[in-house]
Amino acid sequence: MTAFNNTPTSRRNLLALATAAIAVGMVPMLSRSGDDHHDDHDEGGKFSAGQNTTVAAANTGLSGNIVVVGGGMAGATVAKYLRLWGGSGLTITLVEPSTSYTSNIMSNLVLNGSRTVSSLAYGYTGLASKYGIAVKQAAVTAINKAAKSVTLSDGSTLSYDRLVLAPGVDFMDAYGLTQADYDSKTPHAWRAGAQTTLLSTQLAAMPANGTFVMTIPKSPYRCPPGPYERASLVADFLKTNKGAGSKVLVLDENLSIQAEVASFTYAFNTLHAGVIQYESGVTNVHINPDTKAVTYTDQVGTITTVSANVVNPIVPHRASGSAPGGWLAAAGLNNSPDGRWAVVDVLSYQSTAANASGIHVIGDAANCGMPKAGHVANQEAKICADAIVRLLGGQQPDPAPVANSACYSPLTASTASWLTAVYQYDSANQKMVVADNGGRTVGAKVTEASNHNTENFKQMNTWFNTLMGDSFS
Amino acid sequence: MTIKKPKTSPRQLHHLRHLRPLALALAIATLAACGGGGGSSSAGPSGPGNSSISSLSGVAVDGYLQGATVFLDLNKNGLQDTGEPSALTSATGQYTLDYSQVSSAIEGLQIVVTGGVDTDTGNTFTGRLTARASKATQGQVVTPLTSLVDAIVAQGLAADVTAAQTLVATALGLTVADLGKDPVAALASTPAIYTQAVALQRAVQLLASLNANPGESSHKAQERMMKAIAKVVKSQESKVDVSQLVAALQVANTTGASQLATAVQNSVTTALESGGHDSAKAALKGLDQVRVRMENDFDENDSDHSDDLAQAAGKIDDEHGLTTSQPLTNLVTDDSDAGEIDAVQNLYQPGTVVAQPANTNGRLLASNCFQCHGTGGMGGFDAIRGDASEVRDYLTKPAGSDIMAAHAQGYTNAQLDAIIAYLQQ
Repeated sequence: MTAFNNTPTSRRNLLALATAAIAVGMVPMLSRSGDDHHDDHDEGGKFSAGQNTTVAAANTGLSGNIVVVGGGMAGATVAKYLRLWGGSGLTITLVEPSTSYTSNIMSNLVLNGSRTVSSLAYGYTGLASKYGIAVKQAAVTAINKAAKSVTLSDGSTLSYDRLVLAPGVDFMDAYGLTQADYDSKTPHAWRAGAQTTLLSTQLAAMPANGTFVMTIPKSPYRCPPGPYERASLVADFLKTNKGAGSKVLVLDENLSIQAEVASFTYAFNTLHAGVIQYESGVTNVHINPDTKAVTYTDQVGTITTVSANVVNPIVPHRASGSAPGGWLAAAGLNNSPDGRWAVVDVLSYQSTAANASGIHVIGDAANCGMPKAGHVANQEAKICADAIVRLLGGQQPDPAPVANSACYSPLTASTASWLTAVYQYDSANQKMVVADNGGRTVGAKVTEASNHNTENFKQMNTWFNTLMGDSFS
Repeated sequence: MTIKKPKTSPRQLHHLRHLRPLALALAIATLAACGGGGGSSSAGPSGPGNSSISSLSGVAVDGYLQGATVFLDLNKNGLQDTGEPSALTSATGQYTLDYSQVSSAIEGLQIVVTGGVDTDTGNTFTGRLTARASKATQGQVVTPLTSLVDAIVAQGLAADVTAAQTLVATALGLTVADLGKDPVAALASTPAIYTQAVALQRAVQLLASLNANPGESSHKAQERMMKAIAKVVKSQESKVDVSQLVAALQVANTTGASQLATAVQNSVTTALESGGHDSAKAALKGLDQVRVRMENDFDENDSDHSDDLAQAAGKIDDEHGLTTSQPLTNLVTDDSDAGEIDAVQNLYQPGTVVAQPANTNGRLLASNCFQCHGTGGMGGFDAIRGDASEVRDYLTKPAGSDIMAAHAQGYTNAQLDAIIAYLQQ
């Protein structure tokens, strides 16, 4: 077995591994042949090697009707693992208005031209064909908790025994901007797609030694794409392509860098020194979408107005449908104190809202104490799927689930750092808490890479391709 | 025929608890009798005569179904219940149902097959196959064609299984003997068994999806559609094919299913001639994507989401950027030729099928590895199914030096042991 920190395993090594696997009586699983881009064409060869496999579903004898809302990282993963662990007797329907999911992870690399948005698209063919998931192209408009059914945008209804909501986030009107401004003038580009392309185009059209302003909302926000990562990549792009006098002004509503403090302190103060200006603890941000004038109050109370060429407001988000009148709010599921998130029991991801029996919320919309990230959402989905399978079988959820977070962050077009954490269940406080040093949780910290380099950048691609495969293939 | 030595697994003991008292007494007597049985199949105290008729062996085939659940439906409710003999199929679809603990007669009961993976496509098998149990028939094949025979019997449309087989054989231009053959094993001699079977299965599944009643399970809807086709077979006096049977159905939305059956028959026939079974597998994998697309996309009130086969194939081709070559669109049109099969075979190769570890202890913990090592630990940075013990090497490295070190150190030793043990299976 090759080590995790080696370069991505070559085909020859994989074949050797497969041979070794046969020798010890395992199922040969890496017998791919031919060109990667021809194999598993469903997703255009986007997944890592060894994943043109189908894992046979467990034989559970269980039956039940499960509706999953949202086809992002959490929703795709929960649908797949419900089939794998729940068996062929479950009816699993994935409700998603889009024909494909565009990954937020890696989407900052669209901004410097090293990736395209289409390269980040993942369809539902694998889930539908390989795992027998019914994919319904529609949006949810209402949940009828008493009748245990959901109403869809096409007017149809779906009844459920268990409902898993993985709707992701909506972006709030903020800083004097509206959704129309985000779409056409000042893109947040925080959901990968058309706004990412727009921001990329705006960056490419910037004048020499221009000014780029971005804002970072108070935590919690969804990451990746990471805001500090974005600042670093934009700085790298501008100083390479638009002159050393280019400026990246980062207006952070938080009092300090929220993740990978050492890596990004280095990136801001050393790697991209003179380009990035970092202002923490800013308030009263106001943005004029037409003139691109940005006004803010800094930590000491000074009001400043900056004339920018491109403005990228990463605006506050909330669980999709949680705004007043939204479908999630109408069902009373946005029960965090600020009404922006769905509070869940982290053993099963069941909603803690009143009369929400059989409703689970996973991913970015959930308030579960862990980061709002695709990698974490994938694990929340597995914990949720495992809990549902146990509950359908008359058992209780696993009393001690473990989750993990891992994230590679590009700091330049060719180097990256990483951040990782394992989360153990703290039964006293009924929370997931960071663990290190043999699983101990007292004083434990998230770990970040001790340095950034090209090797991490290569590993980032393996991580990404494998994670997407675990979720969508 | 292999005679299976009766064994008592914990799972079987669990089933025993749910048997009626009389059956339980009988079962215990049987177990006691066989409990000390040696390795010889003929040496059991219950005698060779008894043990030779205490199991039903056979093979489940659309393509060979791997890891599918086979059960004997004792209470005739169509569902797998505790205490009903059941088994999982092997990588080549083989099963053995041990009914030594069943006190009632098994003759004529339904053998039902669901789940698993269709090894011809690498897709989860979402269909439902049935056949009638008969002690006299070992090596019972369970295929879409036996399911059709069974649907005739179930509705009393024929006097017995043989009469029902005659009806199906006549309608599809096969012999009664053909219906008892393993379609894959018979590919070289009688490929029509396979082509008719896989066409029928796909038509039934598409029909079921397009015509399911609110709240009706997919398997129930399939059963209903198979019964509807059985009625058409009953009134059939000369040879037709699956698409003609479907077109004659008295149910809604038959257009796409009929087109699909034609496309499957034609392209699989062509594929078998040009490249054998491997080519046929690729054609079926591509066609299954088209079928699933139709099932998911269908909206009877929207002509952009009709059950037109070429429309669905065209959408998939377009999404793959294959607007010029249009491999699936070409495949589903009636004039499939070898070149078109080759184009599809380059794109749609069946994947490998992998069984999950049987013991689920440590499964949820181990799933934390899958984001980086692939589902089931099968790939990514490296494969860890089989031996994940190397993770312990990372416990002594500085956490910031290696993401695996940082990750490994978040677990307790007991948790790492559970992960390793799970992945070793």
